[in-house]
Amino acid sequence: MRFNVIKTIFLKELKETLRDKKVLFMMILLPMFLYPILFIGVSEITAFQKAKLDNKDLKILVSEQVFNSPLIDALKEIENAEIETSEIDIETVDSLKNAIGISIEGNYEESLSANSSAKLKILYDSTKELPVLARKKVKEKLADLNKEILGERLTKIGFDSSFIEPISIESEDIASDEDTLGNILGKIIPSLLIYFLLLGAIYPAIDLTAGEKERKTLQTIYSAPLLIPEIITGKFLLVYAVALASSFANILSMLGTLAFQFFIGEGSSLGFELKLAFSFSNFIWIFILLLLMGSLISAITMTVSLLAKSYKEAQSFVTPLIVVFIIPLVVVNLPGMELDVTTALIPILNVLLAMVSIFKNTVDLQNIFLVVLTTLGYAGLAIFASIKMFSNENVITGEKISYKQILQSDGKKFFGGSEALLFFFVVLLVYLYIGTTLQTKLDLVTGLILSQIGILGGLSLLVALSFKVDFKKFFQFNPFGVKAFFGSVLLAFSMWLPLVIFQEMIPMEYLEEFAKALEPIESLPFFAMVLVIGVLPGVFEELVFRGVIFSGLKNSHGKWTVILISALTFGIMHMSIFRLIPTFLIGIVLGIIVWETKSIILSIMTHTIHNSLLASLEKVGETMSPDYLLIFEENFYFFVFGGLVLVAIGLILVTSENRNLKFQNELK
Amino acid sequence: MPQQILANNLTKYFEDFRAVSSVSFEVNEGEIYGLLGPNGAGKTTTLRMLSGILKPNQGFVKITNFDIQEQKINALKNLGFLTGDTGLYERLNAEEMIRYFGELSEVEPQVLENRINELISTFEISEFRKKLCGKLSTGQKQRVSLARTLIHNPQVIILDEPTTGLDIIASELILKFIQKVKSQGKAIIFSTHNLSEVERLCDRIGIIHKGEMKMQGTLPEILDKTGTESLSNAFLNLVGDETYEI
Repeated sequence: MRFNVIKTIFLKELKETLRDKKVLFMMILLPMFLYPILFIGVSEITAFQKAKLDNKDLKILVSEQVFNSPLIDALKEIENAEIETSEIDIETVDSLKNAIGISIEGNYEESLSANSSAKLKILYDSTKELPVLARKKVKEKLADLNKEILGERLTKIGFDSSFIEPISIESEDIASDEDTLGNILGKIIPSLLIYFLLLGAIYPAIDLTAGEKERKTLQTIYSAPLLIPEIITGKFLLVYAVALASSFANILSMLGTLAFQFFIGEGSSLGFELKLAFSFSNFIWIFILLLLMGSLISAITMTVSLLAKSYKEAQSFVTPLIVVFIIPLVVVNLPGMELDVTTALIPILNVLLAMVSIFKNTVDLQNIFLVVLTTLGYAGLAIFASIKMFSNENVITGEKISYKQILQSDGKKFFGGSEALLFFFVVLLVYLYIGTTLQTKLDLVTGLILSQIGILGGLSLLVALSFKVDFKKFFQFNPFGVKAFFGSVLLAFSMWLPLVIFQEMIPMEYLEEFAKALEPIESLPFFAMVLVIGVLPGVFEELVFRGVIFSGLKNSHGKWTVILISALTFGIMHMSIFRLIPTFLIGIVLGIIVWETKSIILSIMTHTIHNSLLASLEKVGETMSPDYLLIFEENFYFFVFGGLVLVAIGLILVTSENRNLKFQNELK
Repeated sequence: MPQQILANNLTKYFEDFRAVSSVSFEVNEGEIYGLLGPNGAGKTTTLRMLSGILKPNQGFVKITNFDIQEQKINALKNLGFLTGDTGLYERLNAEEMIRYFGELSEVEPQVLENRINELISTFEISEFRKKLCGKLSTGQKQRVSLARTLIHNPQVIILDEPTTGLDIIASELILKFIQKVKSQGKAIIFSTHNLSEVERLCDRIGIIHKGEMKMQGTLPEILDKTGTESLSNAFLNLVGDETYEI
């Protein structure tokens, strides 16, 4: 891929998009005017209507028998009330526009003095605003009067009001302003951010795909000297940028409107304190989630729109997508919904819940990391799907394509870098869903064994079989030299030492949780433990990361890209934000071993020894006298630097064999 | 006369339908090759395979010795491709459209500016060079399309019905240009329904029907082999009496 060419495509798409009045209107002008109109306009109109109602006279008809009673005095206190006495029946009340009537059953005064209830009946028309308002005000006044009379009755018999209210309840909201704001914003903003991402992506996604098919410009660009991934990347970046811009424009306009209402002060029904309840790291997390979600949404909308032949057809294809997105937007605000290991795996909803938890300041980094991983997996798959769609001949020639054709392979049986990444995303998602379920529903040990063999082993085998590879060559089951062997052994025993530094950075509560989770494994007999923690991951993780992914990347990339990307996928696969860096570094070492020795056997051995060693240390550590631990802690840096020196020697040994080989080849 | 375009045994299926069947031909430097055939004969499919847009089920294409599928970027840098299906971006102006394709072909900036000005003057685009492509007339659009096709000064040019829908003045401008680039040593494939244009321009002619190459050669060779006196009779002779449009 050539980045200068991608930049040219992106800039051209940007220029065309900015010249499209529809886009400008939808993305910038609409949000700029929508919220001020919506918020200020609606609240002004409501306030105006309310004021209009308040100033109108309320006509209240009362039965003549109470004409001189305190009831009338109470009613007279109602603002703008016009009290009249008359016969109260439905016809009379109905004939007078906007009036309500209060009729009395039995004798009012007598009932009261006999300490029983006087029965009043309010006649009103519930379809008219003024009678409804009058009834509300009358009821409020009568409630006060009721209380007053009750008080008098209680005093007469020597009690006070606490007699009929044995338990008095008062509530006080102790939430800070930040909490309240976070809660309010948390309910609205995540859903809006994602909804506007979608709305923002749809228009350019359709325009740049189905729109181009219709305008016959897709073939023009395909006839230029470009690779398909370059064309897609340029277009994808534009859709992505517009989606993000639209989401930000909407949120800014909304917050701006609220801030404006707050500053103009009284009279605004929605103005509340706009303190930024946000720490910098929260902001970064929201941003990361938004970037990932944006890429997922952009890739999905582009892929779906490409299925269509025309602009109009694409619009009808995208509509169901909007419905799919609305469901999680509703579900997220259901009571009891929160981010946990299960909800972290549900697409769209997980991002929403993660954002809500960030707004509420109840962030669980580990769960948010899971959300990032699943979304990364989906985004990867969606981008791959759109590359596949763009490579489809029918797409290029502007024909409509059937679902059958999408699934059809183009006959090319090449396992390269992009196939390797696709494989990784599939492994990641399958492991997240099935592996995690197995490990929680069954016991941890059985779950681990099944997911290592079944998922990692099974998927690797599936790739090898479906691409009809030569197993020995593909997985690099090659012999190795003595120096490389000793170098690998040295690495296996020493590489954990420098990584202890990262152990220090992990929060205590996470370490405890992790140790607790591993208890079932540590209680196994020694050999069983080595098998579950050492041998199985040693074999199957190596087959996936230094086998399938490594080989795929190697077919289309150079040494360091292969080593770094395979190590990164290896680190991500450990599904813990705290273990990401150490596992990434181990991945680099294992990658160097396989690249230099061309033998996966050595990395399997190194990985197995490393894992077994750590598990044994953990087990031995429990029974060891604290004195030994003290020795380690007191000489911490000695062990770390000593470890680094050993790793360096190990790497030199591992690479020396390859250097000799190259040298000999050059001599030949 | 080095070979610039090689189509070898091209075969293309759409599901079960065989659209093109074992078509082979070559075009040399300074040669104009006319590709003729009734509608639905497989001309467009063949041209799309030549430009790498479609991948043949069998056979291969080489443009200036680069395989169009295996060495796509190098092959396309030497190819200018214009068909009725290669539209213009409506919200770019004429000059931007031409410059965009020059940039995509990675033409050096200074060379690109000179080339843009040269093509703008050749195709008489200057009066509407700042006008958006969506607002151009058919003839103006076609002239911009041609400039877009030729911006990277390709050695091989494929023109599918470049004069369709144009008035006689605009057509003449384009035909004269084709003759001019031929004299510069370019290899050109020219496809049209207008047989007089073929007679006037083409050094060699290939006639495709039902996906097969029925006959190819120079005009006298074709007339000789079919025993006819005009290209239109030869054409009718080869494609039979089926319904077709010319």
